[in-house]
Amino acid sequence: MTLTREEAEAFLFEEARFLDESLFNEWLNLFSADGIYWLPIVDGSDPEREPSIIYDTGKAREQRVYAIRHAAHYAQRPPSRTIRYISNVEVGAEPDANTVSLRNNLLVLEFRPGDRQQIGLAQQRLIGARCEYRLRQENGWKILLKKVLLIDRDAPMSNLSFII
Amino acid sequence: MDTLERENPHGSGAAAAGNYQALIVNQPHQFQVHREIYTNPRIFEDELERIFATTWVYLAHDSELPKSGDYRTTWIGKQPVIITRDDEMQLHVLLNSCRHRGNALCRAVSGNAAKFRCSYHGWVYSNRGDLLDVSLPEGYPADFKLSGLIPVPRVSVYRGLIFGSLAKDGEDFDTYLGDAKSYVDLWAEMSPVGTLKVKRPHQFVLPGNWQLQVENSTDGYHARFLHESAFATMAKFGGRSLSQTTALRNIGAVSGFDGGHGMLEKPQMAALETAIFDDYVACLTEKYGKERAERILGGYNIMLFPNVCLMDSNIRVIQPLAVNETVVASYFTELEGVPEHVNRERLRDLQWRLGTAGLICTDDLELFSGVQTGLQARDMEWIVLSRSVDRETVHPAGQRVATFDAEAPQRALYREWLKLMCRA
Repeated sequence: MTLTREEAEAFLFEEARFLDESLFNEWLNLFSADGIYWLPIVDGSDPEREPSIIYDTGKAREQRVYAIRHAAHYAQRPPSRTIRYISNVEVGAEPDANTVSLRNNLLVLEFRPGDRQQIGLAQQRLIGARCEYRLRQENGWKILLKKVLLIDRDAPMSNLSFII
Repeated sequence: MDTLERENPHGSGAAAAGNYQALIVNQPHQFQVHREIYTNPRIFEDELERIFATTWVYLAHDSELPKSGDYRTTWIGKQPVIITRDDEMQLHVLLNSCRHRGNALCRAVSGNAAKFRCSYHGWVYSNRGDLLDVSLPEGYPADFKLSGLIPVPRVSVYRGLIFGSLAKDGEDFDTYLGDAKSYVDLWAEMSPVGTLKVKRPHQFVLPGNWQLQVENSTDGYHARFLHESAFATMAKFGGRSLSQTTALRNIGAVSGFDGGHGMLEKPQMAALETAIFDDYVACLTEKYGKERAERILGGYNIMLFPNVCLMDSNIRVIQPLAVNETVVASYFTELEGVPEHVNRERLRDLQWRLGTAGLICTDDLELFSGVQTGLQARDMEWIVLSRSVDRETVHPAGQRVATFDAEAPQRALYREWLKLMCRA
């Protein structure tokens, strides 16, 4: 079983829309129970021994979403607005017939509304990344792994308090 | 008229006159520092000269250079340096600047090399800094004296922590570390064999003055307020309840030391899964005995003035870029001699709390933006660091201890700041 590129794009576009519209429960439901959301610092490193920017299991993803919605999580007060652009989508085969791999390029435009004279607010930020997914068929495609390789993953970065 | 030109014996205007005494109010019942310390670029330039170019500055951890030929580049204030390990495993700290026309010899953060060749005119140096080869040497007079890379005059390594000082003469390293030394020992003994390895850092840009991170790293007062969302998240998902967290936070202590160092002790600061934490406690107890193990588990944030905090499971390095811009790098410390799952859990916990996208780190960064914004209010002249100023217990060697929410570490920072800034 595999995906056409059009089906893969539909999957990725829907995820992008969930995040851009803060539909976090819908986003959580895209993942398999043992799925991982991973932003490495070094591609190919062992995430259980080497630091990552994010390495979230199911529980950690739920915690992240809970915190983002919490009124006192100041780094997201006001919350970021985002627009995601997805391109260069490719579908690859996996040894297991029930899984498929995708890769794509991602551009996220982020903006936190507010007063431009308040440091950190009302500034646009562009985040570039290459993404790699592994999806498994579980009554619909579910994410086993979402790996986001930020272009500046090993450099100092500004506050990263929203989901990429 | 420029505010700095105003005649004002205290506060604004004092900086222009180089009158740093006037920027710190140190009295029996109050301790205040002036906002310009965080906002005035002239003061920042003086800090680079009088603090970063004179005192001991943290450079790197020796586990970053495990093999001969390993090097890494870093900074002392804003001056570029290369740290190398030669064939005999000796460390060298050299200015990263070719003796010919000053080009930065090395642009990489780290790597392995026996020699460094300048990209501009091809001069070659050994990793000890000796000048090995000058291209087209006949262009210089016969008696022309050519020199190797300039070494940083003083280097000291303690417990794997590499420090350097650009001053040829000055306080020796032991004097600098002072009373904080025994706590650095306790921190290093997090590993039952006393050895730890640092990993690739979490790095972030702090849109504010470097001292905001120094102050915050030992501030026990803010956590339950600023980090409410992180604690609430922990509680919601089966971790400690908010009242348990508050109770734990209330039993710690802070200290200020001569030399500007500060410390926050927060028992069980890390929130490791109980079963794994128990394994770790057993491992330390077996090695050190119950009493020492309990002290090691005291949960230390040890801020060594001016630029490094040994912050429970990470080494946090503070790099000033400008009066209102700082880069912070947080190096996870992998412990030797503990079961693998202990390190795995420590990494998970650190990343979740204090990593670049950690729930506590991101709120701290947001706060720093707010402070740097608010300090633009010119008439909000004085930052108040008076909590428990009259309730410190002063030990004979100068360690000042107070309850977890006191501002003793911040006061120690500015006592040393003043001492160095006034030493022309």
